[in-house]
Formats: sequence, structure tokens, C-alpha cells
Amino acid sequence: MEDAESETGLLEKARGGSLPAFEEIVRRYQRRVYATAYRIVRRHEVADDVAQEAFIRAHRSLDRFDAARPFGPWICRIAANLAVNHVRSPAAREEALPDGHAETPSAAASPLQGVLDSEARAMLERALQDLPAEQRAVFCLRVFEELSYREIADVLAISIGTVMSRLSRAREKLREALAPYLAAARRAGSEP
Amino acid sequence: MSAHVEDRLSPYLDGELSAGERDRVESHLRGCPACARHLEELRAVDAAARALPLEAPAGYFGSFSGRLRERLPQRRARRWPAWALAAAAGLALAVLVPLSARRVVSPVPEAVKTDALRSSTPTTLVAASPAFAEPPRVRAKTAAEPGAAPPAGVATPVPMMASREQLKSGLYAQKRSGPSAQEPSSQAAANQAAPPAAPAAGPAPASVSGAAERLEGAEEKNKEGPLRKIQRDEASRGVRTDAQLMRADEDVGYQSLLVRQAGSVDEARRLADAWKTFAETHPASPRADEARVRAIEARGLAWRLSHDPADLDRVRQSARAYLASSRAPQRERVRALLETLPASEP
Repeated sequence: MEDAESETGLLEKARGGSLPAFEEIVRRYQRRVYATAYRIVRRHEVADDVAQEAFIRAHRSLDRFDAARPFGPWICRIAANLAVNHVRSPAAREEALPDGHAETPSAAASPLQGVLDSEARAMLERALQDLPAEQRAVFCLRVFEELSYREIADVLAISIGTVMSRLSRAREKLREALAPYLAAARRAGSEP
Repeated sequence: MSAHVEDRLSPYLDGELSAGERDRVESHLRGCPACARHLEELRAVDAAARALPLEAPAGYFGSFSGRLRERLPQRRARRWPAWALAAAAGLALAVLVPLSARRVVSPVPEAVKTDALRSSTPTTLVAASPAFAEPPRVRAKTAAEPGAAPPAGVATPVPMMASREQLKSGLYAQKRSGPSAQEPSSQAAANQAAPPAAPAAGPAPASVSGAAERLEGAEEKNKEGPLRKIQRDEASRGVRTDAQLMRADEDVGYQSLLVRQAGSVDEARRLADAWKTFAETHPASPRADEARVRAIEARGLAWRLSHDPADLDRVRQSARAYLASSRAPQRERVRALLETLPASEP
């Protein structure tokens, strides 16, 4: 069964021309790739296009991809690159970002989860949208993709110093936006 | 107490500080509740961002790979710039119009014949091509348009190259709307007419048009054959395929190399080999000199990407060979390239 196959095996088959193998790889990574794109571009339609294009480019480049390496970081970097290129484009700068994101409760735990209610989440979403695209891209690559500063610098073709300063600024803006909620969380944490 | 360290907290959080800086920050944090709180807040911001829900429309991921399959062949076609498409379409038409007039258009009623010829000018082909007129999303929809009639085949067998060109040309697209498009066997004929090992050194043949894209989209609806074929083609990109392309048609080969980009060492080496092969295959071509120079430049790129001394030797040798030849109209360009290389040993 292909479902049980290792990623390396699937990649080898895909490189040999197996469409089912490539589609299995797509199924395994489509959510992650979409998420990478969406967090940067903040629009479903664009994220969809970016995610599809990322897989198309990966498919074209399979013959030079080292199948022994993990596919996930590679495809996500392709997606991140495409997403950043989009937000850098003049057309993207003119696009108005959509209003708030879906507010589905998340199962993920965080120090703020108990206090960070839907209002706070909406505030954080808005603050993320309001970040300059370049800062948002750096923040997303670091926080969601967990790339090192060197890797982010390579993906975005900027210096490590620029990565550092953009990330610091992005975090400070988000922190300011969440300040009331952070204070509430602190108070709640200090109560007996 | 030492100076506050707010500006170091973000890289500290990421473990991106040097050991000395990290020690300094940690020492400060032990005695500064304000900076310690600031750090916790930054950490909380990251955690909160990670916990944000991320939703896609219902059913989105279920249909993702199916839609991706539809877009794969069309993306290939898009790699050709509009000017190359126009030039190649014109070239193909110059050859095919006489053929088509006898083999394809003649059985079609007069009205259809007129439309076919009118819509088969290079200008119309480019303008009608969704690859250049619409964004990718729209093109995907065009290819899968439910109302699109299935393409008809060529009624009489024709040589393989001619059939391929006809399939890619507007003539073919027009013919499918004629009476013969209703022939039950026409789809099979169309599929057979497309050679299984179509030349594909990266970009698609230059004669790809909107009609061809619609054709490929329609083929995909019947089976996955064309996609598999393209996947094989993509996987087998390289010098051999380039050589096949160039033998088939110098124009197409040259244009395919012009638009090819090398992003890795192997690609740069292959590109250098491909340009060299082109120059050797078409020594009398006015493009041969440009191909020789581009081979040298691609070799230089391979060296810059690899820093392999063997690549450096090769770029030096090929550049010197060019400069030593009696016909070297681009001497300055090659000399400038040589100057960017490290000084060679005496």
C-alpha cells in the first residue's frame, strides 16, 4: 500500500514518473503548504494558487531534489518564496486584506489560551494582517516554519541582520497589540 | 544593573545570539523583572500566533490534488514567452497551412474553413491563449470547462511531427467545431496523433497555443496519459532531450534554451552542455556564436555555484578556446567573463 510507504520511496517513484506517488506526497503536505502560504498572504484564493504552484514547481524539480532529505521543509520554502514574492508585488500591495479570520477554537495549548478569548484572537489576527508584508513573512518563517535566521535570510534574499531587525519589530508590534490581553493573562496567572 | 536588553530578546528567544551575548542577556534577566516579563510576553505572542486556527473552505483539501493535476500541463506551456509563441506559431502555420488546407480543412464546410483560417493567424493564437491572457486560476478553469467540446482527431493519418503541430495549432481547434468533431473515433485519433515521447526539454514546444491548452485539458478528462507523459518528460530533462529537440527544429531548440534557467550546479552544467551541443549541431547557424558564448557563461555559473576546480578549469578552457578562434565576434563579452574568474596559476 502506498499509504504506508516511506517518503523516500514515494519520492523515488514520483521521480521515476509515478503520478500516484506524487499525489500521495501532495496529500501528505497539502495542509502544511497551504498553511505556510496562507499565513503570509492572508487570502485563501492567493494561498491556494501559491500552494498549487509550489507543488507544480516541486514536481518539475524532482529530478534535482535529494530524496534522502525531508520533502516538507523544501516544499514549504518554495511556498514561502512564492508567497513572499506575491506580497512584494505591486498588485498585492493594493489588495485589501479580508476581514477577520475564522474563529474556530484551537486545541493547541498556550500560556494564553485560558485568557486569550475570541476577541484577543481577532486582535492578533488583525495585528498580523497589519504587519508590513516583509515583517510578516519573516515572522511566519520563524514562528511557524521554525527556520533559522540563516535559512530565512536565504529564502528572502536578505541579510541576517535584516531578519533579526524585522523579526524584532514584528514581535514588538504584536506584543503591543496584545498588551491588554497579556496583562490580563498575567493577572489571572498571579491570582491564587 | 546592566542596560536593558529588550532589543536582544527576540534573537535570544530564537537561540540566535552568540554565547557571549546570551550570557549577558541571561545575567541581566536574572536581575531585571521588567525585561524578564518582556521576554515572557514575546514568548506568549509566538505561542498565541501558533495557536491561531487556520481554516480552509469545506472540501478544499479533498479536491486539492485533483485541481493540481489539471494545472500541471498548463504550467509547462506557460514557460514560453509570448514572443516565442507568436514566432513559433507563425513558423508552424507557414508549414501547416498548405498541409491543413488539403488534409484538414477541405472536408469541412466552407463557413468553418473560413473561420479556421481567419482564427489561425499568429496574432489570434497568442491573443486567444489563456496562458497569456488570464491568470493561472482562470486558465485551469478554462481547460476544464464543462461545456468545451472534446477535440476532434485528424481524419487521415499524417506524419507525427505534422500531427503534433496541427494539434497545437488553431487550425486544429477550429476543426473540432466542425461536423467531423462528432466522429466517435476522433478523440482516439487525437490521442494517437500526439507522440508519446514529445520533445520537452523543460519548456513546451513553441507552437503551444490556447487551443493546445484546451486540447490537453480535454485529454486529461479522459485519462491521465498526457500528465504521465509530461512527468516522464520533466524527469528526463537533460542534454539528450535538448539534442532531440534541436535536431527536430533549430528554432524550438534555441528558444527552449533561451528560456531555461539554471538554479543548481547540475542544471548549470547541463545547460552549458546543451548550449555547446546546440553550437556543434548547428555550426552554420547565425545563433551558433551566441550558443558558444552562452555555454561558456553557463559553465561560469556552474563554477560560481559549485566552486569546483574542475568547473573552473572547464570555463577557462572554453573561454580561451573561444578567444583563440578566428571567428569570435563576442570576444569582449568572453574576456569580461574571464576577468571575473580567479587568477589562474602561471
